[in-house]
Amino acid sequence: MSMSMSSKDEFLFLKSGLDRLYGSLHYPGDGIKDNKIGYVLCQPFVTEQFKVYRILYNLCRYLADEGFTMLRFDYLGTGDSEGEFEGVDVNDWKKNVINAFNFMKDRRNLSRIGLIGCRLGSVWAALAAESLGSEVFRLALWDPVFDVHAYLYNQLRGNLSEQMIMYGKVVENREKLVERIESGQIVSVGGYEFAKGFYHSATKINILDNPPRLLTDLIVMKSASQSKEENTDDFKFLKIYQPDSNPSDIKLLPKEVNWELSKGYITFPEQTFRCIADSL
Amino acid sequence: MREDVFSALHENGDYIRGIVTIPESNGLMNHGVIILGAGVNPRQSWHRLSVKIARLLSNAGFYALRIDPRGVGDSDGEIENIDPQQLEGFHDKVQTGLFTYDCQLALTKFKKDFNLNSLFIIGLCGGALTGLYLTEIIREIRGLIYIAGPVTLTTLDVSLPVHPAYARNMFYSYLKKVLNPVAWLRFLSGKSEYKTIFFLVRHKIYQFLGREKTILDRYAQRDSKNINENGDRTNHLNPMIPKAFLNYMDQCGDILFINAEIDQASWGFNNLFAPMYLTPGKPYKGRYNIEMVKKSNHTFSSIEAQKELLSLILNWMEKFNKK
Repeated sequence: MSMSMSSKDEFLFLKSGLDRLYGSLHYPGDGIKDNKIGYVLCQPFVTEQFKVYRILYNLCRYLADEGFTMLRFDYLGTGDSEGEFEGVDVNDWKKNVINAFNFMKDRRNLSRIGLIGCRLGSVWAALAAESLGSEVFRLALWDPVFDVHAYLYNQLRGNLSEQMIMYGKVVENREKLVERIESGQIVSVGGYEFAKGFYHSATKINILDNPPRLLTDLIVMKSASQSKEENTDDFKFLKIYQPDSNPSDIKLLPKEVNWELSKGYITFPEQTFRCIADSL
Repeated sequence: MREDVFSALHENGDYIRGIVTIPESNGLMNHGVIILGAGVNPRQSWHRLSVKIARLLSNAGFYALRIDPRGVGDSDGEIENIDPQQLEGFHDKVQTGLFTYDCQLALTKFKKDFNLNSLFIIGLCGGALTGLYLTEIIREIRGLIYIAGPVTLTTLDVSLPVHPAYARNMFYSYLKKVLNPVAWLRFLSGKSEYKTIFFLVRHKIYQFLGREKTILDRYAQRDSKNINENGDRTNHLNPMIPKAFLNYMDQCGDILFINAEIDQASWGFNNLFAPMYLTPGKPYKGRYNIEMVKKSNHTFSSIEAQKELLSLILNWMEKFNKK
């Protein structure tokens, strides 16, 4: 394990419209050649972000040691940013990515700035990249999620687990939970308040069925052992933008990062970091 | 209310980082509260519970600080000499004071930066223990809220029975694996957690016989028979907890214990700690309160549990604003 970091770090609040978002800038320290390339890291969904918090912190510092400038931030209503989770709207998070991108552009003297989307963060990164057009030099997606409805529906399992502990059985299935959300009630998923405003608008987004118009280089990174399958969403998405691509163009990462379960306290998956640095 | 980044410097050059929430109007009291999260979780805690607590108390006039100890969240450093695959090892370390010194540094700087007159601690799970240990070092803590803090060490918990609610949940998750060939492969190749499976099957039999609770009660009785020369139970109770508690009671601080009804930690509190140190006849009556959040799990994840927890915290803290 190598953790000797010499990156420089700034912890700060940045503006996104009237809102303040918590973020951290990581850039090459003394003695490290600055490659003048920056990336905004678009974090995964709240439940996963919490579990991989330290990994993403270490990734940013690792990449800064490799010469990159990294900006990590919390979306509105998440982490240390302003706002309540139950009050957010999907447009807020896309806007947050754009504002973070512009913050980085103003703050650091960089020649190129890209976006890295982690899991569900890939959706907000892709939508922001569409708005930013050719300003974004590269969009890199790490274990991306494409269908927000399927993803959030799966997240509702968290509520079922809570019911199992509470009542010893599932009292309300996921269809019932969705009905309650749609009727304006708040439903807890792992303690996060799922509200209609967010759920209703988010579940209509599927960037595979309705791909955003991208004017940027695209990289898809997958934590998997092989990539021979053509029938994967990752490959289908890549093919939309790079018709000549083949499954081996998906960048493979070791299966070191578990987004959903925290069985240990893995904070520095070095092989994954190395592969990501090489891909960028 | 305003939020800013906070940092405290460790002697070795590492920064301990966090977020301070500053009240709009601090009145005349200048009270400060440090909120300590669970285990090795970042400073927001489960579903941003610490953020909610900080903002709630800030609106009531308190300065609130949430920090990451070294090796956690955004702070420098790493936690060394523990197998990263084994979360229990980290929990044990936290439960025996791994983060106490870092929190001491942060709290000392917090007090100085904001010229605070009185200090409070709120700790969740392992953070509750860190908070209790902190009262032994910073002997001016006026109040401590100890939320769902385990009184046993995690690695010793493996020999304790699982709380019935969690046992049921785990049983069903194992049941789902019955048709999974990979799970059978693990089972037949010696990789399964046989002890857990044995406990769960036994639990199911007891549940079937309507004697679910007797398993827990038998363990509590067995623990009560293991008493050392000082009169302390020695079997599962983390010995650092009574020591720190008794020290704190010798000072002038107050303590509020908040437990979750459906939680292994509550069982330990009610059966291993409370009978020994809080039952009638013991001193310190009036210095502590015990509250139970009904129908709540360990992380207070339901909307109702969160509301009740926040209400309990605010009501208890507000009495200090009136003093």
